[in-house]
Amino acid sequence: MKLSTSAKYFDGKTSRPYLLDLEVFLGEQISYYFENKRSVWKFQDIKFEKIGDHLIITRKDNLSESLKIDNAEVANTIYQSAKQSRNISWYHTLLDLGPKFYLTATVATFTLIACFYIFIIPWIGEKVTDLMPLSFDEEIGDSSFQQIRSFSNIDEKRSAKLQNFADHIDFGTHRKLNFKVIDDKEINAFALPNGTIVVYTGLLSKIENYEELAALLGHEATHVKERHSTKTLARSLAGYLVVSVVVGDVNGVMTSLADNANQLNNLSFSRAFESSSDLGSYEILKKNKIDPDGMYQLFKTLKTSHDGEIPELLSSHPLTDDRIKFSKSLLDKKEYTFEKNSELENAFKRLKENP
Amino acid sequence: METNNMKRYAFSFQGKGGDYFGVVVVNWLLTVITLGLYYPWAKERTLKYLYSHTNLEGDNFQFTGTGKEMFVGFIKVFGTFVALYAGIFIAAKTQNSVLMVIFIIVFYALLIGIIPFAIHGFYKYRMSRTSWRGVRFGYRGDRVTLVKIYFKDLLLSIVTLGLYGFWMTIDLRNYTLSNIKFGNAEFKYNAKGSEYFFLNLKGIFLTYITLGIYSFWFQRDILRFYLDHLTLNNGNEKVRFQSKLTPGDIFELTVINMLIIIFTLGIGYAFVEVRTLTKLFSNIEIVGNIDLDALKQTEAEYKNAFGDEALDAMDLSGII
Repeated sequence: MKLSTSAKYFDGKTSRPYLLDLEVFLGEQISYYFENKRSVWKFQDIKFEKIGDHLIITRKDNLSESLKIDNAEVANTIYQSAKQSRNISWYHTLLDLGPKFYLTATVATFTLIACFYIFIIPWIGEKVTDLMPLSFDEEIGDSSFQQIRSFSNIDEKRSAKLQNFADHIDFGTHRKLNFKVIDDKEINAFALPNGTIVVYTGLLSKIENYEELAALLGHEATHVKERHSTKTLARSLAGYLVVSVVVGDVNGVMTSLADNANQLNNLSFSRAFESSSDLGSYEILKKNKIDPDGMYQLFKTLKTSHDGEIPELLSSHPLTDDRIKFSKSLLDKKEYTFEKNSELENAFKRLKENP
Repeated sequence: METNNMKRYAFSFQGKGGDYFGVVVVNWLLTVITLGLYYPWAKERTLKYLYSHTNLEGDNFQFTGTGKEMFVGFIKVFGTFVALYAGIFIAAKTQNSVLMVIFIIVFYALLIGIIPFAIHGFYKYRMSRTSWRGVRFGYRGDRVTLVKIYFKDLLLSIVTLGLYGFWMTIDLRNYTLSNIKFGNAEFKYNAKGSEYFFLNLKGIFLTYITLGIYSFWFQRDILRFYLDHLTLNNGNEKVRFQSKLTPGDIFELTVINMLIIIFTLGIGYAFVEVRTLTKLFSNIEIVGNIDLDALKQTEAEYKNAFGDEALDAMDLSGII
């Protein structure tokens, strides 16, 4: 099919618009006379771009030479013929799909981002941790212990007693565990990735029997065994990467939304780790034939000593009520028989003595 | 100087929120699928849309840069940053504190030192890739001169605890914008640092004591200041620019844009950008006696997008 139309021509030498008559063979070529010379533009050598109702035709080999068709109907006919003869880029074909496609693309984008968070990032976290040598955990732990040492008061005597207590428990790991007591009223305990496990005197004073203490140490030891710190680090780095690379180029609001989602996500990872450590603690109690009631007691102690306020130990932990329920369910299983461990009991008594 | 055959040039942004939304969403999708690698092409698409929907005297601007060029620039910038971080990391590994300090100083020196080169590169690339009716813009600034201005002003800014920063902004703008060419016509930017300083002093002070209400007037003044000192010159002919945006316009823009962003959780950002440009451009008055039909092609093409990407990477695109 052939049609004739008028167009503005820019020769790429000046900004002057020249009015020309075009002959268009739809899907094939465009020809015109300029300064008494006939020029032919083949469809495959030119780019078509619709801007509003206008059609801009540019030569691929010289982007400053172009034709502009203002007649909306003609512009559309030529554009459609270019599309049918496959002379429109995949990108513009995609854009021409219109609003329904845009909405689908939006949903797809958000679904993909969600998949990253739910599946890919935890997976990367595990893999990266496997690749990291244990010496990495040691280094990180050593340097944070140096910092903790500089601003807190380590009770060396009681630390030795706690170490003695723990030496009677088989934690089922080849990692060397160092137990420290910090003189602080706060009800808290934590594990560093290098195997240093710190218990505050505030928490120690609340603990009433050796089973509870064993449950607490078992929980912390599991963090070390399962390398939760390194996994958290790897996950949050991967999460940060997704936020900054994939979403970061989008815009401020979405970046901060994604950033917060990432934080929340990290918190839920950390709750998953806590649950996993509770289970690990149970396994350790079982291995050492210690009454699993200790764990149940421990959670109750934590709950009552905090009149509703969220203690630091639990800030990223599953809710205490859930943990109580969880430990009760383990208790009810009655999986193993336990016996009094007088060595532990004595070690616990020495620890509880007033220094 | 002003002759009687002055005319007002038509200038507007004709993009549509819905169309631009498509551009933005396709960019998001492809960026996510390619784990961010699509970024330079996304930038190409965005710039092409925005330029081609900006209309002067009935004809649109054109961005002729490509994702490929910007990808190469992006890789160069990425390589530079990786090298810098690797240096720091190696220094940290050796646990030699002297080496560490030296590396950190080198790191920041390079980071700050790269800025004038990036600005120069940005203008060279972006201007050569901008055209109207096929006539290219261009940047004729000299890199050494710009670097000298930058470091002299940086030093003065440090000595004056940042106060000289206002003069620095204006010195850089005077130099770069005055070296932009539009075919054979030349832009001139001629502002005074002191004027900019007092404008900001007054603006910040009044914004504080009116609890932010004055900020709309402040923004209007800043926009006016930007455009008032800009001219396009061709021999004796001249074009002037003026912002007619009122504090009320700015208030309306800010509030509605904020509402759109909040209620769409950022998804409506495309609409916000289109609204803003439409309002902004329709309030720019361009008056003069240059014959825009007679501009000649004078500027060469330039394909190195390092500067463009470096400014982007450092989140400094806003300084132009």
